[in-house]
Amino acid sequence: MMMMEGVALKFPPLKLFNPNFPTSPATTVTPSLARFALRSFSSSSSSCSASLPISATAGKEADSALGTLSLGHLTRPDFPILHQEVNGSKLVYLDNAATSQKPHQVLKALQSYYAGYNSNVHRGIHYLSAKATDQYELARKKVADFINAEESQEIVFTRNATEAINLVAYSWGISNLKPGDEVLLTVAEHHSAIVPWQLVAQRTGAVLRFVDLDENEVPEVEKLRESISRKTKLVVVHHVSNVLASFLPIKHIARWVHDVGGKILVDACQSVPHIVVDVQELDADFLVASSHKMCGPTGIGFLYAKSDILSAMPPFLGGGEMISDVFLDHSTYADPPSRFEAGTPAIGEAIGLGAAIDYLQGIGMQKIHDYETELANYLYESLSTIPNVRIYGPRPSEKVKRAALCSFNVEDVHPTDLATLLDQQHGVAIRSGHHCAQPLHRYLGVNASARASLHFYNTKDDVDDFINALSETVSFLNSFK
Amino acid sequence: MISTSFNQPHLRFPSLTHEKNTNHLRPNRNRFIPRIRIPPNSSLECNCRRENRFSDPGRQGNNKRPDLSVRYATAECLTAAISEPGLLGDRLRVLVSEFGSLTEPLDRVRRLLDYAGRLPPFDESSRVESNRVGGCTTQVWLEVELDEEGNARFRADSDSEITKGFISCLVWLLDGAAPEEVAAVEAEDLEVMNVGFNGRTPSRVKTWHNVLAAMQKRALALSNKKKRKMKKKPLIVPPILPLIVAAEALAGNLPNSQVVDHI
Repeated sequence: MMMMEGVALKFPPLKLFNPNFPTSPATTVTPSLARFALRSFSSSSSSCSASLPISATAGKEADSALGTLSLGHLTRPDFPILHQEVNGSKLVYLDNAATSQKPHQVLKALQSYYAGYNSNVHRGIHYLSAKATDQYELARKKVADFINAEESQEIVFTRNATEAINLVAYSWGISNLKPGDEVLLTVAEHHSAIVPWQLVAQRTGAVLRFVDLDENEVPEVEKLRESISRKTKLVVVHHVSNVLASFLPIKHIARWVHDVGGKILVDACQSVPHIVVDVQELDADFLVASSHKMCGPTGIGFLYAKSDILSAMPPFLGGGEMISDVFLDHSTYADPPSRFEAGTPAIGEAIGLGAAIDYLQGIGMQKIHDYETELANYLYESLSTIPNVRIYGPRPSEKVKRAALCSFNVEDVHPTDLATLLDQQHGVAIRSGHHCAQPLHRYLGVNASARASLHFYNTKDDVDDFINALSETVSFLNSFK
Repeated sequence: MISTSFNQPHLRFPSLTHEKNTNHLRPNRNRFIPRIRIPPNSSLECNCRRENRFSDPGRQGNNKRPDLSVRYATAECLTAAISEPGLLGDRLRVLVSEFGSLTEPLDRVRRLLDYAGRLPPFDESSRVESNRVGGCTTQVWLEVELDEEGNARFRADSDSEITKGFISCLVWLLDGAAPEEVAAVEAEDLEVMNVGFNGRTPSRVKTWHNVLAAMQKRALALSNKKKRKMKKKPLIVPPILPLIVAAEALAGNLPNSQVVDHI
């Protein structure tokens, strides 16, 4: 309540446009009505779709009537953590590629689970266990629907995307890769997409091949295509780069690798939270994502794999839940997905992920994508005004879309110094370092970079605050040279 | 309460846009400078004729020792190698006092950036992998040698200005001290140097903890090696042997797979 009032007081009187009466004049509303409108947006429970305030769905006409009430402004009230001060300044959270914030619907779902029906799943027959199992499996179905998997059984819950990739590496990789087989990656892959394959390559004798970037600082897609041969058993690629902000044409790459009998593993950590991802359209064999990057809790992620592939894979971790019968000298294993979910899963967290998916679906992933494209362009153009700045990845254009993140360096200024002062003096949270992409940074010829990454609850005001703070910080640091 | 001239209200606070040319504050330092004998209990404040922005301008030319319970370091004193036992302790107290009196986080940053500018130049040829200090978010290079008396001498550099400030303070603190004295410094003793609002930003803390640990480890290693060589004594196991997880130790090469060069 306090938070809502605080938010409402910040807004000028709202003008809401009612699409049911397109010719009616815009109505000025009082702060109390604004609070009602905002509250009604955020009042959805985990089991029903949220509906945006009518203003947000009414298109350009309504947007102009609303002025600056963007998707970011509309959704911010749902994220309690954003409304605080850090180090004496308003928090400006721009580290979403590292982890996203959680709406109170997700927090409520977690609370409800632990307060109301926490119980171990699949085994018990009492009421609480049955309810927990239902909700856990419902969360699995929500994930499946979210990415348009054919069935829920194609979703394996893991701890995160890293564990999901390791699952594929140790289960599918160990049993399918032979000496001389090739695994194709790019230099821009996240460490979690590289290291498991290094470990498996050591054990199997497979060869890793890495595709470089082109002149636009995007993985060279044509070279990737040319590198696919009969020896290529697997292509491991990101959908959206967490450093370059670039998109890869997964659908085309999948077709090329399928033509030679290989498979594709898509690291969708930076795409699932931000754009529509349809595994049928992409024709991905494996796809991984983490809940904590898509407004869900930490401790849960998932692997999507086509059911025929999953059925043929041996277990990864052994233990309870993934077995059928256990004898002293051998065991038989459950069908997927249970075969790959050893031990008690992160039940509450899976349910929290389900609530996050409900929240995102309530907004609409296409709407999120459109808004974030606008933010991406604004961030890129604004950052470009800083003198001596170097932004990595492609320049945005009509043809080339960027994700709403920028990794950058300012000449003669260490990104860690920037990030330290941005946090300390301005409450702006960005990341500095190699962003789990050391090969990429080495390729770009730098040791580290700073990164500002946005999500749909960020606004252009956040970008403005960041740019102003960055400008001040650079001036301050340069004054000591 | 320990106060420094820095806290005296009539002094002008160093501004953000101070003069860029700080060469007059840079120590003219050779690698092995003769030790400057500083009597015990004396102020670490030298009779420094050069202007020092942290000195009290009202006392310039007045050789009377200020009536302060702490002695603050001046630019020239930053260059003086430690010559006597106990001096490291004095310097530690000065450092702690100086940074402890800076309640505003930005002031600590300013001070560190100023000290960064005082770090002696580091040979480009020394920026090699073998001199790298692991586990830091920024790049840090460290060279350690023993002088004729067996005291540790340090040279270091970083690509981050704030880290250079940390390093500058650490080098000032430890340069010329006996390896055992170097090893006895605890990271907690220097917490006041941390930047960030609460002074406990993990990555920053980790950086200079790693640098301190590397200085200690390498100094002791050199000392042990020298002692083994000269006196053939049993290896002295140092009481503190910080664990630095070396990336190299855990890195897996790919003996059975050949990573094809970039396509």
